[in-house]
Amino acid sequence: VEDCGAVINPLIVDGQVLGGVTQGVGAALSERICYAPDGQPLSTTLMDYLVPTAAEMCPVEVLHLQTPSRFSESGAKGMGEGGMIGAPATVLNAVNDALTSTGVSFDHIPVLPGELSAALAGGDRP
Amino acid sequence: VTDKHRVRLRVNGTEHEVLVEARRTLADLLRHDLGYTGTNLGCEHGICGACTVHLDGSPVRSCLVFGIQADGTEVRTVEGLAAGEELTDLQQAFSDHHALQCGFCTPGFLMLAEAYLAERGLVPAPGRAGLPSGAGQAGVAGSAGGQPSGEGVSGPGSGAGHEPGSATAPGPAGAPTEAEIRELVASNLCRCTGYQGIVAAVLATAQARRAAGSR
Repeated sequence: VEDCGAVINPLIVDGQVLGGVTQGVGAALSERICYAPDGQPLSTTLMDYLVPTAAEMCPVEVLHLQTPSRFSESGAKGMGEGGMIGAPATVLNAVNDALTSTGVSFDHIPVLPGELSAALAGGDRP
Repeated sequence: VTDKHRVRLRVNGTEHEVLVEARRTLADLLRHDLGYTGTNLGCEHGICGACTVHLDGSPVRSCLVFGIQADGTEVRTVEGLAAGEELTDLQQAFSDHHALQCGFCTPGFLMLAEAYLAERGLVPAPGRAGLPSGAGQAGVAGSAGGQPSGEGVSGPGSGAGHEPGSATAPGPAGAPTEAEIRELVASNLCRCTGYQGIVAAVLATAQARRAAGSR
């Protein structure tokens, strides 16, 4: 649920939200810039820095709470990729919720598959 | 490295002959030598798919094909989809479903989806933009010819090549499912849209073409 004040162009607003949510899912689960100890960048291609594809995304439903701004002519507040803000926390909470019975939890993003399996195998925080 | 090679190819129905270095990619040949700048280069190493074009009917990443490999082939770029100002049904669906925001990846997604739909026998109804009037001919009908304008998708006119693949493709079985199309769309990367609109646009086009009784 987003609130950008008065929605002027629903298609564009929803598009921004959907794109932002996807970026947030990537931030939570796959996107990380890595460096070697000597500072050599290791995430130098899009096969190392994993941007979500359509296969990683589920259908997203966007709802709007429209609280008109008192400071603009139209009541709009402005709309960027706001979906980016809530998505990482949502995904991280979902991951931790799914891990409740294991005693493992994460307090950072991204939670990468290797980290997760290592934590589950060792029972330790990575 | 200064050795030049002669490449003859047909792009969107127009014959071209260029002299290029062996290292010239097809993407750069199209953009720099021929001015078909509708094809966008994203990662330039075959991951993002923005530069997807059709090479003899099959989708390829033009950054991973050398120009000299395209000698004697028929290439179709995003400029070859629409006839003049009239959008194809797929392009219109992209607009209707807000399947693009910044638009950089869009040419690649359009070419990817067109190749997939053709493979499924789901081509535009006769007379629609983008379909050669002499359907079934491997050649090009009614090419408006002309040089690319060098600006976006409003490039040279019609004269899109017929996909050879569609002639041998299995007849229209079941309509493509959303899951299938999502998997297809996962071939390319998009940073703005979250893919939802792209999946919806391709699905809607597939369903409309199927309903229209296209082959």
